[in-house]
Amino acid sequence: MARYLKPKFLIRDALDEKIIGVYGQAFELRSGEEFLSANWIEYFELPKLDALKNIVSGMKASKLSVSSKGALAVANIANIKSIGKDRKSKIRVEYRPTQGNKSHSGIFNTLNEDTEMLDLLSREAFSELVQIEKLVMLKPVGF
Amino acid sequence: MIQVLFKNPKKDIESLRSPSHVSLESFTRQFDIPVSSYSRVISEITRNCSGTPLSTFSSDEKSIREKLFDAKAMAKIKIAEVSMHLDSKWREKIFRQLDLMHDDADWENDDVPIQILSIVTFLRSLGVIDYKKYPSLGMSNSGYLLAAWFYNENRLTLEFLPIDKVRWVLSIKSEDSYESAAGETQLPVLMSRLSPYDPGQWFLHGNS
Amino acid sequence: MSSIVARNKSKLIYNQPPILEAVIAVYFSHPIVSNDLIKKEKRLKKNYDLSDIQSNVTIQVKGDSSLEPKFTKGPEQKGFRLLSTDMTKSLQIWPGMFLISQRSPYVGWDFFKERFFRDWNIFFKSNESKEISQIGMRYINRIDVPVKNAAEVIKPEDFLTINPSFPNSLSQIKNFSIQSVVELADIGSQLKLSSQSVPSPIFGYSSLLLDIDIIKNQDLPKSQKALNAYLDIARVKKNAIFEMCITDMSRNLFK
Repeated sequence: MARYLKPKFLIRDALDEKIIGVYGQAFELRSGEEFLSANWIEYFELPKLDALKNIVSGMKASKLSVSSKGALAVANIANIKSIGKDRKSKIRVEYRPTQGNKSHSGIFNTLNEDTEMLDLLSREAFSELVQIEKLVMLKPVGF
Repeated sequence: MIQVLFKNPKKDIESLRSPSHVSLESFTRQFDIPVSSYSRVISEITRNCSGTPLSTFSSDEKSIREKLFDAKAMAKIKIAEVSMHLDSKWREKIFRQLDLMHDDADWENDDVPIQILSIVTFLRSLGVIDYKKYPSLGMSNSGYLLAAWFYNENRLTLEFLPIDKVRWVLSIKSEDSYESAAGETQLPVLMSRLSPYDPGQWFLHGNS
Repeated sequence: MSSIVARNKSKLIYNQPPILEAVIAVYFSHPIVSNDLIKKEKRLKKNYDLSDIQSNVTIQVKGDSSLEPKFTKGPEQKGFRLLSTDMTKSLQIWPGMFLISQRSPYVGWDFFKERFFRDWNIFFKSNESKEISQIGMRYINRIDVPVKNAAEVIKPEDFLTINPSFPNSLSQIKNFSIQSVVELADIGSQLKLSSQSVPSPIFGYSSLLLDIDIIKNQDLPKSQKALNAYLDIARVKKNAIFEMCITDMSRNLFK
C-alpha cells in the first residue's frame, strides 16, 4: 500500500530538507471519513517506483492535489493488519477504485483515539517514504 | 462614539477575550480617545453581529491563499510576542516550517490551518520544556501544532492542544523491540509525566 | 539622580530587550488623496513582502434605555498595510497618517530609523508638502518575570517604579493598570505612560507591561533634518524614561 502524506505530516531533519519520519496524526480519520485513503501498489504490476509514479498520476487524474513537498508512505498490508491485531482492532484493507484513481483502496477500522496505534502505523508500517518531488520528475509508465 | 478599525475579518477572536490584552496588531493614534479604550480597539471582529451594518461591509469569501496567509500571519505575530525568548535561528526554523505546513499546492477546502490556541500552548511550553534541541514541526488535521524529536531510534511526539493540553506519544528502542507510551496531559505536569522515559534525551540531545 | 545620569551616559546594551513593539506615527495636516496614496503604495511595495488594503470605518451608536441603538456608518477610509514575511516589520499608510512599526525582536534604533526614512523618502517626494500635525513614538515593553509556582504573585514595585499604591487592607492585588499623562517641557512633547500586569504568554512567568508613548503636537518639525533631530531627541528621552521606570531586578532579567 502507499498513502499520500501532505507536507504537514512529515518529520524533517534539522535543515527541514530530508524527510526522516511521519507523524501518527497522518493516519487520523478526518471528520466524516469512513476509511483512510491509500493506493494498491501491486495493481500496476510494475516495479515499485514506476507504480508509485502511476499512483501520483492517478491522484491527479482524480483531481486530488499533490504537493511536491509531500510524500508517499509505503506499507506492507500484513504489517498494517498486525498492528491492528496488537491494538485489538480488526484493521482491514479494501480495494475501492474510482474513475481516475484505479488503484485506490481504503484502510478500515483505524482508531483516532488510539494514539499508540497511529504512532505504530507511522513508525512500523508506513516506514518507507518516497518524496513526491523525486517521483514527479519521471514520466509514468504504462498508465 | 465608537471607532472600529477593520481588517479582513478573522474568525479567531482569542486575542480579544483577555481583558488585559493590548491589541498591537493595528496601532492607531486617536488622541481624544482614552488609552484604556483604544488599547482594546477591535482590530479583528467576527461577523457574528446580527443586525449591524457591519456584516455587509466586508466579505469572507477568501481564496485558499488568503486563508493560509491569515492563519500564518496570526501565528507569526503570536510567536513574535515571545521572540525575546527565542533564538533567532529557531524562530526562522519555526516560520519556515509554518510555511511548509501550509503548502497551498495540496490544500483542500476541508483542511484546517494552524489554530492560534495551539500556538499559544506551544509558546507557553517554553516555560516548561528546556528546548535545547529544536523539534521538527508539523500539524494535525485539526490544525494543532505537532513537534517531534528523535534520539537515535527513540522518538517523542507532542501535539499542542488548546488551553494548555498536550497529547504525547513516545517509543523507546529496547533490545529487539520498542516500548511505547502515550497520554494527554496538562502542560504544567508534562515533564513529570515524561520523567520515567528520560525526556532529556530528546530535549537536550535529540535530533542527533 | 546621579546614578540615573551615569546610566544614561553609559551604553546600556540588553541581550534580550523587552520591547514588544516600537512604533513611529506621523500625522499630516492635509490628507493625501486616494489616487496619490495608491501610487505611493506601489512605490513602497518593493521594500516589503506583502501588502493589503485596510479599511477604517467610523460608526456612530446612538441610543437610550428605551430605544434600540441606532448605528450610523460614517465615511470610510482606506489605507494600506505593508509587511515583511515574518510579520515583524510593517508600514501603514493612510490619507492622514504614516506609521512604521517593528515587532519583537527589536532591530535597534539605527535600523529602525533607517527604515523609517527609507520609506518616508519614498512616501514623500522632495517637492511634496508635508505639514505634520502630530508625531508619536511609542515603545511597548513586556517584562517577563519567572515565578516559582502559579500561585506566586510578584510585587510590581520589585520591577517597576510606576506602581499602584493601596491601603494595607487591600494588598492582595491580582491585576493593576496605571495610566498617566506627563508634560515633557524640555522636548515640547507629552508622555503617555502606562504600566500594567498582563497574562504572560509563557508558563511559569508573570508579566508587566510598560508602555511609553511620546507625542508631539506643537512646534512640529518642518524639514526632514528637523524631523530626524526630533526623533533622535525623543528616542533619547524614551530611553531615559525607560531606565527611570525599571529597577535593577528588571535589568537583570534582560541583560
